[in-house]
Amino acid sequence: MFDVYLPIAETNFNIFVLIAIGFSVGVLGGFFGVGGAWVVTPALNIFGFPMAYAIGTDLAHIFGKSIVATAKHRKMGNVDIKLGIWSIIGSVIGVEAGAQVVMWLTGKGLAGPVVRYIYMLMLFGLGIYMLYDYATKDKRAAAKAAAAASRVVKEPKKAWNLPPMMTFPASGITISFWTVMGVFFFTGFLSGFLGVGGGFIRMPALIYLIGCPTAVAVGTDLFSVLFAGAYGCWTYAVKGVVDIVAAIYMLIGASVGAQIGVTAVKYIRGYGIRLLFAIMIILAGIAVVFKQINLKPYDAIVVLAGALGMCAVITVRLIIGFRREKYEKMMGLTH
Amino acid sequence: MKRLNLLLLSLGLLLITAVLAGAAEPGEKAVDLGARQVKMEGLSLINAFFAGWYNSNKYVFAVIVTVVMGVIGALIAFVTDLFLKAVGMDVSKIEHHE
Repeated sequence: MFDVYLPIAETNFNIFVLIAIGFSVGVLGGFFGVGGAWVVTPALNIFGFPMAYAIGTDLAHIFGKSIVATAKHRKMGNVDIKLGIWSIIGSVIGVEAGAQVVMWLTGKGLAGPVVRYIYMLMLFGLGIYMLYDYATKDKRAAAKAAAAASRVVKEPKKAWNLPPMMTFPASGITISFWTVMGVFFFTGFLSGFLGVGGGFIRMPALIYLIGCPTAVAVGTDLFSVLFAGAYGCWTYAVKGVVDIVAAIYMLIGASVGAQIGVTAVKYIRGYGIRLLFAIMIILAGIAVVFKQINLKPYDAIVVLAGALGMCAVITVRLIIGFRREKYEKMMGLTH
Repeated sequence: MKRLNLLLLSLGLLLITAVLAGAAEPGEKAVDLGARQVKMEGLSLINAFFAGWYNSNKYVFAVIVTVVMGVIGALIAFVTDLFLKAVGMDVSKIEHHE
């Protein structure tokens, strides 16, 4: 009844499904600073979209959505443009190196299983580390407070201060050029190797390896996703696999979702964002395990259910935060 | 000696970066659907416009897709921003707290 004809994919598709998929990935993208291709592509495919068009259309809508989310993060002071530009430079070199390794593995007939196992290792490893980090945060804060109270002057941790040093005022960090390039080369390498946009690797790398505040990591990562999305949109359109009509409907949903996701960053503390992110990537890891053992369609169902559940949590937290802020403002006015 | 080690390490890292950049070649070739044509019969105005360019020139089609996505993204960002301001949701700079 609510089907629209998609002229490039030459198929009919439900308009509300397109908008809903866009909306949920928009919320996740704006909140976590990721493109979300790992949610959209299987979702479109499950609902009957041909796979080649699912990938191309997904990248096209990611580009539009990233503009919306990055613009808003920038207003909130969450985008470190200088760091974002270095992330693009380092990632491009890394992506190429990763692609070369995949080509070499493909020649040996090992690419499929090796990539999938490393993917699982990455998702579970990162997710469990972030959960551990969240679980021990109070203990670390208490130890820090105790050290401060007893006035024990601790030697600062020795950072790798190999010159040249770079300063990123927006993130409030000074760091070696080699650390920056090394981290982005590594995340780019994984991105090229695993064949993903890389947002879910770059965002935690910005926090744990570069030292960005969580909200700045989210905004800066989105800035990089924007450029990757623009290139992806262009190159897949040239290859003829972008259904622009589907992409527009998804973009409408995604843009509204991205506004919700980005605004929610304001109301949830950095560690809260990390916790939700950890849960989401562990669910993505479980989906890859299901795929590896051929448990179709449960792989895609886990990703979709996880994404929708996470959207609900983020939206509820936003509403609670907004109402509290409004209440506090009112109280401030009455005093 | 320590400085010399640092210098050598820096030069080594620079060399690795340069070699990798030089070695970079286009990755795996995607399935090329460049020659594919879509049917035009019965398409409405906007669908016919997109399908027409898709059939005649994929590069122009790619430019249209990229520009349309960018413009719609920017437009929606602007409009929703106005809407959120109207409902009282502040979108100014935030303080970063972990």
